[in-house]
Amino acid sequence: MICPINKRRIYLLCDGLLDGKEKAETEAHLKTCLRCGAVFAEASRILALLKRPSPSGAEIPRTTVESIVSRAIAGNAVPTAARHLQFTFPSHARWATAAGFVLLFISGLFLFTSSRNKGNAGPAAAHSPGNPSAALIATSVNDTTIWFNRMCALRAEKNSMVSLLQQSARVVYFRLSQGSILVAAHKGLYDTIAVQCAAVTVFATGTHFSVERAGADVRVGVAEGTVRLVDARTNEPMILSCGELSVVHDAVGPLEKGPMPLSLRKRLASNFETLSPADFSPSLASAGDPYSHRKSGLGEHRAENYGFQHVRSHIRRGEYDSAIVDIVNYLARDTTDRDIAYCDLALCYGKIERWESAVEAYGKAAASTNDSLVAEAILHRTNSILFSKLARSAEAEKGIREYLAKYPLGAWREREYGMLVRIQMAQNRSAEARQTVDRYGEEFPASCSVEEMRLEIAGRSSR
Amino acid sequence: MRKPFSRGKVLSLGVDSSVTDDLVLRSRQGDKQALGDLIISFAGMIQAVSGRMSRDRQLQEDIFQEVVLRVIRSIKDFKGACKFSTWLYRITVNVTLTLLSREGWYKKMAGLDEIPEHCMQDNCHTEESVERKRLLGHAMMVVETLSMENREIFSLFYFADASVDEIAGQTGKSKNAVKAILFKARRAIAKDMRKKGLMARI
Repeated sequence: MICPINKRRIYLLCDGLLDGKEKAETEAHLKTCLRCGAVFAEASRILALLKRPSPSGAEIPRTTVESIVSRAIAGNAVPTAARHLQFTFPSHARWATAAGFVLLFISGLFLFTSSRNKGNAGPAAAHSPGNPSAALIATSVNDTTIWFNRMCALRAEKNSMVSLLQQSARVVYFRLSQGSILVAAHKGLYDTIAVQCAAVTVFATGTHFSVERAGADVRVGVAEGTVRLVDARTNEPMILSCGELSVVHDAVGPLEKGPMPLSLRKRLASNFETLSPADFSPSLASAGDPYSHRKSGLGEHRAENYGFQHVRSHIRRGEYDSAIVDIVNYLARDTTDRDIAYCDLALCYGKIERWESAVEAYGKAAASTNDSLVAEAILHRTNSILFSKLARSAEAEKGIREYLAKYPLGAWREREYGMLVRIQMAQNRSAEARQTVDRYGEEFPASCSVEEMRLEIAGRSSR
Repeated sequence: MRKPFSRGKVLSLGVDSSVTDDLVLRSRQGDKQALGDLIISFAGMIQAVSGRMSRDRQLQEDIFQEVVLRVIRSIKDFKGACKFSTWLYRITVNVTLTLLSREGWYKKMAGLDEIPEHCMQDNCHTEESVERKRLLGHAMMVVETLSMENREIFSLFYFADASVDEIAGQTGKSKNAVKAILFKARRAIAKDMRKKGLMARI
């Protein structure tokens, strides 16, 4: 049978492009002709596929829109091609761009920090128009450590892909698309650091944790403190504590957790060791506004006086002697920004293992700074050097006690406790060590180190 | 009987035309603030069009930025012969097609294996099933075989909700020619889907 209605009419009807007599004829025909009815059904299905609205929640955040528009109008738009590099092909140009992106990414983080700290009034401040967006992709050729504020650190392991998704006054979101990352999230800087990976989002504050993407699975391990895992499929949260590991299957299964294998625990511990504040060179601030240095990123605006960039380039190239000469010359002739100079000096001395000089420089930096955050960092750094590098236990203990008394919410209290316990154990002061561990346990009940320390003390006492 | 999709949905995004005209005029005179306001007021439309075509948030940001740059570059050339929104449609559709084509996006979408992780695991897209994306990828691969002009017409109609009248006015083609192009594209997609055995899964 030959139908009087051709396919074109059926498709036009489906698209709503027929009217009047043609429409009535076609509709009447469709009611009687199965074959044409099937064509219409097919056309409708394809139309529904094409016309399906964009997924809900896929809108670009308002702040990002405003940021893109303002950057574009100001002529500072990030090249689109560069925004979308995939880094899978190791051409030199792409790696060079990747390196640039990492720098941009870090700059974005510092800008964020600045806006976060400026926005102490509350979240609204961070969401105000013009808040810089940092939705840039970072990747690593080799292991790459990204410092936030020089206190929180994120290490992306080789061939990992990490992007900064979103930022607000309270939370910074990262996404791990491939590979694995270690996050050392110290307290007091961001309220929460969140890492999104596949169906899981890990929320953490003041903890050390790792997230690994292994095929379809996501492995989340906690080395210090606790994290909160949220399954995006069900919105079900789960608390993961220190020493626990959760393997989340991408497509199926609920969130489950278990003890972390010893091998993984050791590996994490050794990796986090390298992310520890032992590598930390304190960031610097002007008096009165402890965060003002971050407005331009690491205090370059203040440090220009003594050639911050120049000194930094020496340090980056490993030319610590040259950096020291520059800083010492600056200190001899200038009276401003001495805290910056002394901290950099201490850093350089540390790099060439002149620990006595480093401690001396930190002492002078502490005397010349008015910023409590920097002072806290300097004190911790000094204690670390005295304890682990110079074995001057008495001085270290004095410094540790000072830190614990002075900074009840300090970023490095766990480490200070750890050092104090080790000093006491080394001097066979088991009773005191037990007391310190108890205090540590009360303050950080989730820490997996508490039990280990207790066992170690018990073992030593029995010997 | 299935109701046809309403036309002009994207046009009515709450942007008052007199306000738009004023913003366009000021933007053409070099008022950056007005230009910013103008673009932001149409951001929803740009996203709606690019979002339907790309189904990817990150790519959408790239598209959005590229559209913004093109608008900034050529706002002075906009003579008001058509509505600003119509002019913006064309820019958005063209930018989206160019970027998607450059990325080989639909091919990746149809294959899925090669899609970068961030495109598949975006929480924002949980409602969009992987199967849907795959099917759309196949459909769009057929569209990619059309000429640039026909592709633009197809996208304006199906993704930007432009009416046949508007498309005809924009492209200088007759309404019948536009309808014929739409039909041929749809027929080609159906044929391809049947051939690949995907029709039953739509």
